[in-house]
Amino acid sequence: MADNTATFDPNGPMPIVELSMGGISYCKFHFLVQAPNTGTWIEINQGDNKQSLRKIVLDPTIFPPHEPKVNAIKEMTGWKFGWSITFFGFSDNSAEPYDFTLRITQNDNDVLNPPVTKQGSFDGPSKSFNGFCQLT
Amino acid sequence: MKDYIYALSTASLVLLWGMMPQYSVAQGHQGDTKPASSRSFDFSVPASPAFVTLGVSPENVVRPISPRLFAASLADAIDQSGRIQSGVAIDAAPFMATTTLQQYRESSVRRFFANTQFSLGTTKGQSSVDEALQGAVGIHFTLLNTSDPRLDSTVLKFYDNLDKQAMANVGFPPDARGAQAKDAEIARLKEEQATKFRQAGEQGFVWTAAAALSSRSDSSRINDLEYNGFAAWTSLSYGLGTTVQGIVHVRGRWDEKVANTNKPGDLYSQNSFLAGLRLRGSIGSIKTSLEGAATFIDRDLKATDGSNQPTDVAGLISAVIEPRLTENLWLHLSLYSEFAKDLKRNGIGFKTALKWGVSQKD
Repeated sequence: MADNTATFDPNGPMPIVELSMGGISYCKFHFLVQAPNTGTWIEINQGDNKQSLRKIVLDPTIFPPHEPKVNAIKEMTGWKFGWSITFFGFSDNSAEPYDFTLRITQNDNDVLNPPVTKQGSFDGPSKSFNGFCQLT
Repeated sequence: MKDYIYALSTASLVLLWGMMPQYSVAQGHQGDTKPASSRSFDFSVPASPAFVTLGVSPENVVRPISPRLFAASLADAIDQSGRIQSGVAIDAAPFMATTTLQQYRESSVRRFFANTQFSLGTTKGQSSVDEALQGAVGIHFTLLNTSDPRLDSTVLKFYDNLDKQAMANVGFPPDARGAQAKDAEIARLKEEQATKFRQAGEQGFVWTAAAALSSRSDSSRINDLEYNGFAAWTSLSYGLGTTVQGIVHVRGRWDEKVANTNKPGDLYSQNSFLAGLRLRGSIGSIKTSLEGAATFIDRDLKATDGSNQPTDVAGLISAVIEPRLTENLWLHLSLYSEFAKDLKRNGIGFKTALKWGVSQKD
């Protein structure tokens, strides 16, 4: 069962994934997609919070057919979009704060409703969040 | 965990009481003739400025390090005047909570404020000689830290690799259980590779400074707290290679009121100054240190013939071992010797001290 559903306008511009990462700890993110009926996750992007805000265009090359882009958006239907976001603390016994907000937008409008937001503090070496949404 | 800390705290107190025959000699010299060796010889910069000012710092990982977002400390200790003291302190670096890693890495101003720590602590005397309640508020600055892990691309690369290995080992179950499995794998991998990580963290210069105001209530009522002087100190450390670290520390304490054991109920004031050097390294997995320090104390107290007491000058050398008991628990064993100015009073002696502290991992 998907955490959320992101519904795109097939005639709109390419969707953008926006991840903002707060907190002073190190944050590493991975974005993955899964084609319909495959069960296999493929990583399409990864990075960290040396930049607090990351914007990633959902590259049409990961959704066949590759061209034109509007067709790529149509072809996204049935795919899953997943994320793995991990915060690493710099001291193991001190509660370090974390927060992140994940949005998927199209034409500056949220298509993932509601956006995924987590915040809190952690005491262990790391704190991870895995999840996915269905693209329709 | 709290119960464990309390149990250890009590155990340490019992052990310290077990050493009281040695300290009873020191107690006999309290007040106007107190030997320098009965003072705390921990000349590091503890995490809690309040506790160092009150002389009961539970932090004995004696390095100038960047503060934590929040820390609470308990202490059972023999303070600088040889009194049994119990205390609690809270330390916080509030600006750290509102700073992102990107801001921390790119702005020296944000970095300075993020590393500014505020401290509040109280202690209560447990002996009949002095049962006063004491409090302190302090502030701690990190002026320079060339081994700051948040700025160290090696450390970030280390985390990056941990993440990559964990993803490869556990895959991507896209749910909460998958996230927990990833965290468990990261913890396992980090422990496996921790030695390399810790050694990398000890390189470079760290320079810190701190100051604190102190208060005292002889009635033990908070309403009766009165100004009891202030303290200021600075510390500089440098990693000499991968296993040895040198630390220089200078500390002053002014207008401190001390109970005169020769006149019950009487207080006198004193100014004290300490300068010390420490070399800290490893023997296997156990941290060891050699320390040398000079202490100077000026007391506002007359001798029996009416003359002013001379400045009490003493030198201290010590050896410290810090075996790690559990994840965040270190046992500190010290053997030290005092070289006092007045040889008739002390000469050269040896004592042991046992301390405990919940500390940040190396």
